[in-house]
Amino acid sequence: MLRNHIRTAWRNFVKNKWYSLLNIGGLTIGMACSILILLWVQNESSYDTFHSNVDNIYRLTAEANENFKAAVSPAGMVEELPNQIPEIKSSLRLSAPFEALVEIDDQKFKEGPVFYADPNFLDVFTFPLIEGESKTALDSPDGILITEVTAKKYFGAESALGKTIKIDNGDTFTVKGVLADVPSNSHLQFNIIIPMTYHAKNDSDLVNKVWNSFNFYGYFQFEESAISTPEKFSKMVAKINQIYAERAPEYEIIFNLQPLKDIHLHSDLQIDLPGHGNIQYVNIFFLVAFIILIVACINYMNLATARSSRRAKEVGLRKVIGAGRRQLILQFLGESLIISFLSLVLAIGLVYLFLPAFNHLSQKELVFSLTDPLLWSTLLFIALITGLISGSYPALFLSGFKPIKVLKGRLKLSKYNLLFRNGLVVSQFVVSVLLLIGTTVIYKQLTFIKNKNLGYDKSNLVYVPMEGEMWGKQDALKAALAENPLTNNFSIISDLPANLVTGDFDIHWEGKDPNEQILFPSIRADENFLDVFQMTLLNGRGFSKTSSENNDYIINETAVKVMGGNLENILGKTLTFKERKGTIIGVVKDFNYKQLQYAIEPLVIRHGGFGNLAVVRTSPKSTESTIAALENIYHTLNPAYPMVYNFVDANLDSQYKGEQQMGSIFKVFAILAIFISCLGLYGLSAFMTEQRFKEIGVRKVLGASALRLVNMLSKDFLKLVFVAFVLAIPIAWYVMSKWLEEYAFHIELQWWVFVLAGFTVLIVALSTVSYQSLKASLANPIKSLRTE
Amino acid sequence: MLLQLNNIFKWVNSGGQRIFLLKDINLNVEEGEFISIMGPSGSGKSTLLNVIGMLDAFDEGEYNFLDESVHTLKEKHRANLYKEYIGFVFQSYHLLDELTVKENLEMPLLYKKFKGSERKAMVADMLDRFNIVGKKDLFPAQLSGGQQQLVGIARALISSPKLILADEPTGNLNSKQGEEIMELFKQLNNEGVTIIQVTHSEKNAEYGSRVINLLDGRMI
Repeated sequence: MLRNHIRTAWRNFVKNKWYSLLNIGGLTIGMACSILILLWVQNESSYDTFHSNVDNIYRLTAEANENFKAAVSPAGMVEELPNQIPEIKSSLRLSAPFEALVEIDDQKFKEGPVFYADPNFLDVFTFPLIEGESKTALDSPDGILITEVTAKKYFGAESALGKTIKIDNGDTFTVKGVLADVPSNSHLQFNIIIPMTYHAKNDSDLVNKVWNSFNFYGYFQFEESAISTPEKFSKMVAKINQIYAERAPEYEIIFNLQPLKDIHLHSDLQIDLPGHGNIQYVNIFFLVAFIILIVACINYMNLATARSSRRAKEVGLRKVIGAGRRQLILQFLGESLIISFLSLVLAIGLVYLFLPAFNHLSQKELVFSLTDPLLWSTLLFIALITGLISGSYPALFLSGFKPIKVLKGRLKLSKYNLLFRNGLVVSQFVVSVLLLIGTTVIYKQLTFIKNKNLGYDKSNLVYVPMEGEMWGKQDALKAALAENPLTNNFSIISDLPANLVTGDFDIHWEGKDPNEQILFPSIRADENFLDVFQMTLLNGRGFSKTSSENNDYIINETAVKVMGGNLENILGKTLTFKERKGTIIGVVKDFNYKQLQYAIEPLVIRHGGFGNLAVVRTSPKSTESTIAALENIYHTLNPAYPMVYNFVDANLDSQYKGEQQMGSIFKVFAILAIFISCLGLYGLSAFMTEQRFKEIGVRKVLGASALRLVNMLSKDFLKLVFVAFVLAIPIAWYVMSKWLEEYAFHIELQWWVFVLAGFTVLIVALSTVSYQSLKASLANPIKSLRTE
Repeated sequence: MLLQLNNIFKWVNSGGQRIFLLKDINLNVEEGEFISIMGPSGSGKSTLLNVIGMLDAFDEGEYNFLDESVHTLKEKHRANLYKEYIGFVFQSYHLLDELTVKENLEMPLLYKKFKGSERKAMVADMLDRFNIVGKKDLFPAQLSGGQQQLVGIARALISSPKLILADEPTGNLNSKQGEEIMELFKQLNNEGVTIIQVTHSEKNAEYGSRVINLLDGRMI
């Protein structure tokens, strides 16, 4: 029986090559897309799950107000809490990651990311050592851990253990352990770990065990199931907040615990480690994978039912000869399962073929290994579900035929059948229109971000961080920069106005509500800042050489509003920022100093003669020679360090990497979804035309022109596309407004985007359908009439 | 008695009017009979044959088949009944184009849960009996009309039915092929198979033992 079915299926398959290719092609592409997306989704959701204690590890986060939640916490607090809360097994602090100059036998490398970590780092987290003893690896302040890839780079095939490394032109460390390379699905990415005890020698936060300065990432490992229930969890959070409130009553900070597993996807925190995912994108993509698969299934259903008149005779005959309905259902399901498993095999091939390209697109290192049993079962499950879904309707529909009706003559398909099929086509095109609108809106928003006037001119700005000896030689640097006409348009600043992470509550002015807690970010800059960045001064003046002694302040427009003043009366007012009483001397036009997700907050610009960065404005033609000149100056002043430079606009762009990736992935899948839909539409139109072959012949004999016939045949499909368009608009409107709401600065949804998407789908559908209609309209009518 | 039709009526409602397809049909068929149903186009010949074959329902009357009252049976039981006792032969053969001669013959057995070895033996037997062993791996499209009908009859016979229903079995054949098929029916009838055929041709009707004439759904 089974063999007979397989045989029938196979011969049917070969006999209708084109039809089969359409089916298999659609399903294959659909499955390959879904597999790729699911690999991505799986990777995104697998972050940090490799830690054996993953369920007991939490990160301490701090919330200053609704708009400012941060991933950092005070060093002293993290150290102290385990003593007061017995449920905490141990606590672990990590510094912010940084880059270091590494020296081995006169060879120098700029290496990063580097973390300072408490000695229990390898206890809490599961980062296995290839060499060395994990219990003692971080015990002495002059020990250092490096990853395998780093060890290979420095020492080749030799064992790295016990070798010495010089860091930042200063102290020498001994390699106490070589770590296996950090898995790509770890939120912590590093190449070097240095003991916190080393950092504690001169870091004031650590020396004083402070509770009011937020500079470290704090992790707690709780006792097994100590806070596993929501009640226990909220009790614990309340306890932590209570301890903090007693210890530091002057600050209103709300602390929270963030599960280790949630850090990658569920973090909307500022001052966080780079490289975050976004649960929203994961959900969207998961949905897209599912939808693409459904679209492919719909193709199969549509083609199979449209073709049912051809199979009807077989069904009738089998019934007369003795087949029961159940046997026929099994036969048709079997057929669709064969098709879906065949597609799976092809899809696996496609995935292998396109995984490198997809990895490039998504900036991931996804692996597709068929040895993984979970992967196997998922794949088989996908094929099974696809086969069952796509086969279900044809199976139920075809097996219900009455034998004499179908044996007597041509089967007339019922209205219900047509309605169902039209419904399927409409849903396919709803998906296509949705994805298209989504792609367009995302693209527009990204372009908007790229071209938005931030309030300063971000192009042609080169910046160089102060490192090594440069710190102490800033005056010499200034003099050298000023001397060279290529570099004399420069400014020394504390932070780039790109992703500003500072913020203080310690600010007072006359008339401030004492109960109000307002966070003021700040930048320290020299007197050239406004000129070099080409910002607009709305009133007052910029800094002068003596501004730091006078404690002069420049504030932005938003700060003026927050302080309740206006452009005229604000000048000359006193402002006390971080205990320094000074005067407001100027108001700068609002400019964006954070990502565009965030609205512009009040800002204080302080004057300072030194900073972390030197920024030079170049002219577009002389960028290269300017960099050469900078290198020259840098090398003379700071010979130990290679110069690292970057461009402000490149730095800004890189902040939207996640969005850009999502945009490009989305685009590819939108195109593929439309393509799959069109495959189905093509097949469907072919069968529709075939069914109306006689009608076309009669009409032609009676004098209808080819154009009229094409019009008649295409009209029905175009109606469907139109219905799909109408249905898709409100959904797209809702979803895209939600997405845009994440940005404080965003484009408005414009009607033409919708029209454009609808029009594109219409054109594509029209060209797909018209090929078949044209062919039928141009055929000789005698042929179609003779067959009767 | 093989089957008995008592006062069978069948109608359709069209435009508020009741149009009778079969009107008061009474028919007794004994085992071993060879009956020809004749009549002009539209007189209800095929409808009667389908009712006898239980492929079509009727609206009034009684139908007994081997002491089972078909009109009271559920769809499933009825299907089991015809599966077991009735073989069908069609004017346009209705072989499955995707299956070879051998596989076409095997198909009815598949639905009756015969074992593989039994099926093989039965198919081989049938091929032998109809002298088409050499054609067993050909597809229907590679056979002449007469040969296709031969396969059709072989398929109807393979599960040894008591009754063969043939709807104009020679309608698509030329006269020589038609004669051969009728000879075959005659021979089968002599071996004990009951046959009811629908035919237009007086000549074919002569092969049978009894002729039933229909006009506008009525026996005359």
